[in-house]
This record gives sequence, structure tokens and C-alpha cells, in this order.
Amino acid sequence: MKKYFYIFKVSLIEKMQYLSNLAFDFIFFSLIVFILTSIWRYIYSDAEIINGYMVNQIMWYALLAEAFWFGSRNRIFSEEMSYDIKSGNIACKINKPYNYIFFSLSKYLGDIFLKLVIFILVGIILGIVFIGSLQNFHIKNLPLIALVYVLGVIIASAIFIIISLSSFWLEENKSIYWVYDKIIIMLGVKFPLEMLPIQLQPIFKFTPIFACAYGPMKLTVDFSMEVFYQIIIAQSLWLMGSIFLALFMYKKGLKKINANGG
Amino acid sequence: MNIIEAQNLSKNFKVKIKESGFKGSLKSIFSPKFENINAVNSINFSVKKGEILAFIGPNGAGKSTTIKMLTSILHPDSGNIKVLGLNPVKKRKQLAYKIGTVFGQKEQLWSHLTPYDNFKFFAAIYDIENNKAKKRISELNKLFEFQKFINTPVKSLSLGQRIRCEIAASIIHNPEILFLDEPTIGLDPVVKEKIRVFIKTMNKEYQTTVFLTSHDIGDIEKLCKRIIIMNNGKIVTDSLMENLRCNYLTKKILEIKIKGAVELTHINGLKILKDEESIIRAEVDTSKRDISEVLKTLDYENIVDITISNIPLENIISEIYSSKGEV
Repeated sequence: MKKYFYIFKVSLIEKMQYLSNLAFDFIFFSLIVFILTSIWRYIYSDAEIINGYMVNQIMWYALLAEAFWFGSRNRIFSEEMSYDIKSGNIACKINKPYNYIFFSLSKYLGDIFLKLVIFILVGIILGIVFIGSLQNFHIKNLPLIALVYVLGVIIASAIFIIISLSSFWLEENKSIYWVYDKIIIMLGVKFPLEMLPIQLQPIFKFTPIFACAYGPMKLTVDFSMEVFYQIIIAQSLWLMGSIFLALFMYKKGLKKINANGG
Repeated sequence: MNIIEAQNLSKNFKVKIKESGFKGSLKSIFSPKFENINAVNSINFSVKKGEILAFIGPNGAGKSTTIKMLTSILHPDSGNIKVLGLNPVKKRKQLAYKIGTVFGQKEQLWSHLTPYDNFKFFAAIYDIENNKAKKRISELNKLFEFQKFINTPVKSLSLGQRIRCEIAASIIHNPEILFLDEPTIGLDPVVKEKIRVFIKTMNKEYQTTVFLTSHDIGDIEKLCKRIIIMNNGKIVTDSLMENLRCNYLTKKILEIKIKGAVELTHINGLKILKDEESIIRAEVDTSKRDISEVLKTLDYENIVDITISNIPLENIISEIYSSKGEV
């Protein structure tokens, strides 16, 4: 465990040197937040509550979901890991005394940690400026909300690892990233599940969207212990399932490493 | 004591074969064809503790595949391997603590971090305590002389400096065996020489066994006492360097500096390589004709200087490649 924390730390130190690169992301993020809050204000001009959300809650939901999405994006899985597998570069990384899956996960978490914290802080500042303070939010709930956020990030990264590991069998897997990313944006980031057709809502509770996108945001804007238990159970199952699948795929994939040609 | 043992070791790769053109591409979708490539074909060898072994061969001979099987990266299709008494497939993690690897063409250092941070990182990976890590870094500093650039990000280092750091990082845990896959590739002669000195010193001071692949004859000549030559997935030669020279050095190069005209009699075993105004260069096959017999046929009056030398190791190895398999 100590060595994975060290990998996290080294990845964090490396990322700290390029924090200024976030400037463009902040400009784009602010623009998106402005557009989203304007759209929701317009939608709510004739209604106080839509599908259980007040305008203040839905705008905070959208803002935090965007901050979460912007903050947790990087190229470690979508490009680096897939490239390593396809090119054989993985050879330099797997002959060390650690598990490559947990190495990648720690590296990813270290890489996004500061960025995610900064985006959430910037999001909170933008939210207070554009929306006003979040109604019905109690600071005592913060530890449980934080736990759900952390698990959400880990599950999201485990799913990205699974997609990256498909490179052992697929020559091209960028389309899978693209489709998965767009599904998460459309169904978890831009709208909460309650905005989807009522027949589809139970189905989505069994998807990663519920565990890693909808869950943390819903709990922030509308906390209840009942929702917390639902989300934490879903997250526990997704966490175990995705890590198990990643480890299984890695074990199978190792036999297919293509290191022909040096 | 043998610390590496490979018995009947084989590895095949399945490669997709596609006919050329659009029709070929369509055909390969509906009825894909595959070819089995025997990258390593039932090889046997062993390495003793403290040896510096040259493991060489032309491109595609199976050297890197063998190294990757020995270091638990690739799983062999058949055969047995024991590295330090461990099976690399089953005891990957345990073995990783005892070996180090450097792939000259692949970076393992974090490019945005300094060498010092990288060394600390590798020390943490190998469960080395902070105090011991610091001591080891200063020990390695004496050997690899990286003090001047220890706080410069790796991405800003020259290739030679980076390779020194790559090797230092790979031996931070004092491994018993170091696998070096073309460590001097792309380096200038001065840096190459430095790297060779480091390897030799490391072998002497820490008794580290070195398993070296290289296309650079200088690396092999200056470092290794034993050589294994692979071609087409098979071992074609496994010999001590001095035996290799004795067995293959039946040819000598005769270089004669002349004034005026000197004619070399056409005799069996003598092959003229170069005949210019003031220099004649010839190859003498000593299995057919003694060098003294050739010298007796010369007209000494017009000769300024004579040099007799062995043929370069590079030529010996090329000859082995072509005589024992397709290159």
C-alpha cells in the first residue's frame, strides 16, 4: 500500500509542474457553466420544481458534474495505457515489484488529484457567483459526500482501465472511450437521472452512471441517508466488479503481450 | 553456480498475413490468415554468477524475446526457465526484487522529474527505507557521476546522461542480475566508453551478473568474456570470447606500405582486398597458407612498412550470422 501511495505522490509532484496549463480549461469551464446556468434558468422560468429539483439544486448539480468531469480527465488511460499495450512499452512497466493495474490507478489518481480539487473549488466559487449558495446543504454531510466522490473517481478510473486493457485484443479502442465518455456526459453530467423517461430510470441505476456521475452530485444537492445507502451499495458492487474484471483482463492479457520485434 | 538456466525454451508469435491491395484487405476480414513465427526455438543455455555475457544476433534473431521471457514480461510457450532459482512466470514479483532491466530504446524514468526524485521513486518501489535509499543514491553517484545533473528534469538531460540514470535507477535495489538490452544505442563514442566503464566497475564492485544484448561490437569486445550468438530463434554459438577468436581467427589482414611497385604473387589462401598506389591490403587464410610463406614472396626493397592484424570481431560475427543461418 505504501508504494502505491508513493506512486500517487510522484504522479502528483509531476503534475504540479504544469498547473498553469489548466488556465485554458478554466476559461472553457467558466463558459460552459455560464451557458448551463442560463439554460436552466430559462427552463425554470415557468416552474419552481421539475422532477424533484429546484432551479438552485439543478444548477449546482450541473456545475459540480461539469467540475467533476473536467477535473478527472487526463490522457493516462485513453492514450498512454492503450499505447503502452499496443507498442510493447508496457514491458518496462510490468517487470517491477508492483501490480500494474494498481500502479496505473495510483498514477491516475495522483495525476488528477490536484486538478480535481482545484476544479471543484473553482466550481464552488463560480456557483456562489452565478447561482448563489447551495440550499439545504449541511457541512456535517461533507465526509459522506467526499467518500462518495472518492469512490466515484476510483470506479470511473477502473472502467477506463478496463477499456484500456481491451487494447490487448483490439487494435483500435478509441471509439469505446468516445461512446462511454459521451454517455456519461449526456446521461450523468448534463442531466440527473430523474430527467430521463421514467421507464429508463431503474435501468440506469444499474449502470456506472449512477455510481460515478449521478450519485456524488445527487448527494451534494439533495442529501439523504436513504440515497447515501443506495449509492454506497451500488458503488461497492461496481468497485469490486470493475477491479476484479480489470485484474482478470490483465492476467489474460499478459499472455498476449506483443513484444515481437524487440 | 548457475543463476540463469533455460531449457528447451520456445516462444511463437501469431502474425496476421494479408494479401496486398483492396481485395486482399477484404479477404483478410472474412478469412483471416495467420502465420506462426518461431521467435525462440528450443534454446538451452546457462549463466554463472558474476559473468558478463554478450547475447547477440541480427535483428529478429530472438534476443529481446529471450530477455523478456527471463524477466517475466513474456510467457514462454514451452520449456523451463529458472532465474536465481525462481520461475519468472510464477514468481514474477519475487524475481523483480532481484533483477534490474534497462531497455536502451525505452524510457522507464519519469521524464518530468529529476533523477533524484526518480531514484527515490524506484527505491520506494523496491521497499528501500528512506535512509538506506539516500545512502544508496550517494553510492551510485560515485559510480555514475550524476551529481551535476541530479536536480535537472530527466527530459532536459542528454541521451548519455539519461542512460546513466536509467542504469543507476535499475540497480538502486542492488540486483543480482542486470539485463541490458542495447544500453549504448545512439550514444557517442566517449559516452559509450563511460557506460562500459560503469558496467565493468559495477560488475566488479557488486558482483552483479550482466546479461547484455548489443549491436555494438565495442560493448562486446570490451565487456564480455563469453558470447552467445542467436539467429533465427536458435543459438548458433555459445563460446568464450578467446575461443571464438581462436576458432575464427584463421584469417589475418596484411597491410603493406610500399614505394614503387610490389607485385603479390597469386598464391592459394591470399586474397587482395585493396591495391592502390602506396598501400596493398590482403587477407591471408592461415589454414591454407602460413603468413611467413606469404611474407617470403615479397620484394623487401620496395616495402616501407608491414602491419599484420586479426580480422575485426564484427567480421567474425557477420560470418557466423551468414554461415549458420539467414540474416
